[in-house]
Amino acid sequence: MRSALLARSLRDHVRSIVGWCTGILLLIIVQLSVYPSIRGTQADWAKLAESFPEALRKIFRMDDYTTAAGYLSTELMSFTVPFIFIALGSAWGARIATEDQEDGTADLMLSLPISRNDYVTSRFIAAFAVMSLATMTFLVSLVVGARMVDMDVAIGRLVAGGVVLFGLGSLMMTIAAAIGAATGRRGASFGIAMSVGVALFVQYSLGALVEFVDKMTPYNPMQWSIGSDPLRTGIDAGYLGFTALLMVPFVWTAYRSFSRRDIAG
Amino acid sequence: MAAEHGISTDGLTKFYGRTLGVENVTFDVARGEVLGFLGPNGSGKTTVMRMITGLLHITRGSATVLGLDVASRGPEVRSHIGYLPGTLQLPRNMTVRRYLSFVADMRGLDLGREASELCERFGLSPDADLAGLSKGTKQKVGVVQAFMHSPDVLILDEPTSGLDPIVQREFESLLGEHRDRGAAVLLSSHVMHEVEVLATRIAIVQKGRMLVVDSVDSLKSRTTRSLRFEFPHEMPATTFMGVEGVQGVLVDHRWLECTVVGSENAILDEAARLGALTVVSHEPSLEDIFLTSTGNGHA
Repeated sequence: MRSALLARSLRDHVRSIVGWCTGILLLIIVQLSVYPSIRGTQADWAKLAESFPEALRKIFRMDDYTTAAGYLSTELMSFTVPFIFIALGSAWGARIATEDQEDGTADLMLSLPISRNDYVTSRFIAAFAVMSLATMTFLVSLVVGARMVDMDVAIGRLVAGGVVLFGLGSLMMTIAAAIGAATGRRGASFGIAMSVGVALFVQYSLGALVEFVDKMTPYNPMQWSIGSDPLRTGIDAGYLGFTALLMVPFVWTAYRSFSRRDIAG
Repeated sequence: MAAEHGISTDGLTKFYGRTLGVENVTFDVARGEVLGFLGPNGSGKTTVMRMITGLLHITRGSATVLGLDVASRGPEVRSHIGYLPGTLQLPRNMTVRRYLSFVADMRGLDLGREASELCERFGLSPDADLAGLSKGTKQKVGVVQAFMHSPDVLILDEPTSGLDPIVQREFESLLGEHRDRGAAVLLSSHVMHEVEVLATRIAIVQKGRMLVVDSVDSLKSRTTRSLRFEFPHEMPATTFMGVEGVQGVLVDHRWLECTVVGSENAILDEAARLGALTVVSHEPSLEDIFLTSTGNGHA
């Protein structure tokens, strides 16, 4: 029963899923294709990186720009790809409990013999599947691409990067799902989740500049993900655990709110 | 499972915050019965139907389907229900066949043959894209998904909306078949003819409250109707004063027009005694019952 809904949830958005994965793939191709020229002029790039303010170097992890791990950390993991995962997670999370209602198909859907909890579970699984697919796209293209441009990064570190991104995107997904389940509004839940993502990034960035703000950084999921520097240091199990733990109340809220809410006709 | 009532509600009440949806709605629909569910727009019919299907939470009271409580056993209840919502919106990116197959999968049933037969009966092309269907054709798909698992209980909210008269006739025939095999049907419709043909009892709600639940015959007998009598010469307006059931008399030369509630026997006897030449009786329609019950009639 769930598999039918799961399949429908994915099939309805095949184009969107292909679009997201293609975007990630293209971004990685572009970034990796530039790396050989960076490597060839390491001294110049190191000098250029040194000319940036320290805070900027810290935010974008530019201290180690000319090494493979440093380059990938700066170009992929400091801003662009995390935000793709934040947006992807927010978009899919916002759909979990709102899509059928906003499309007007909730009456037909939820009058079928499925419990509200089963419905949310199927939708969560679909969203996690999309997040997994995006992560796999990131990982496979990076592993293959890194070999093609002769980048010296251990596969384990790339996997760590993928896991961290999956965690960050999933966290944003659960936040959006909780808001969507409580309000029934997809636009609002996507917008609020994205705003949370931006706010977290702003705090994380300002932390590098302002000491007072930096005191909050250890509690920021951005620090637990991109801040843990997975391409250089691998997976931080503690941070990953915090991320997973933080999802629990949002998932709980999503289930509880959706099961208690009247479905708008 | 061998419950006598297909649907049973007891004091069903819904508040949206502080706004009343429906209050204290109580009725039963027996197996093999069609209950016509009537009321002006916004009276609460759809709210009641959506509470029974579990789309809305019940504020007070209870509802059961085949003896199963709708609040605590939702999925099991819904496995016995065929529901056609009043505002039908079908999913995009699917053909008719794929959608009906999806519904069957969600019900855990293999309904390919039943779906095909109903599609054929209603002239639906299984390969048509749902997104490109007209309103009437979408409604046909809605009818097929509601009936294809031969449910024990049918909850139909304006089921013939958008259907042409030929398809409406086919729908009435289909509904009659399911009623005859023992399905309990709650039918909301603004097509009075349809309700009159199919329903044995009707329930009328207004402003969220149940006004009446009774058999069509009983309601007709209690509904104001008009009788016109022609006499050989002009008669005074007091002619039928005091006759049982007579509520008013209008004089038009040799004609007397009377409004009567209940049995017509007394006034017919009196008219015969006074030598009436002609009697014109207007049997109250369901529309008359509806209008009278909701206070919009001319009585």
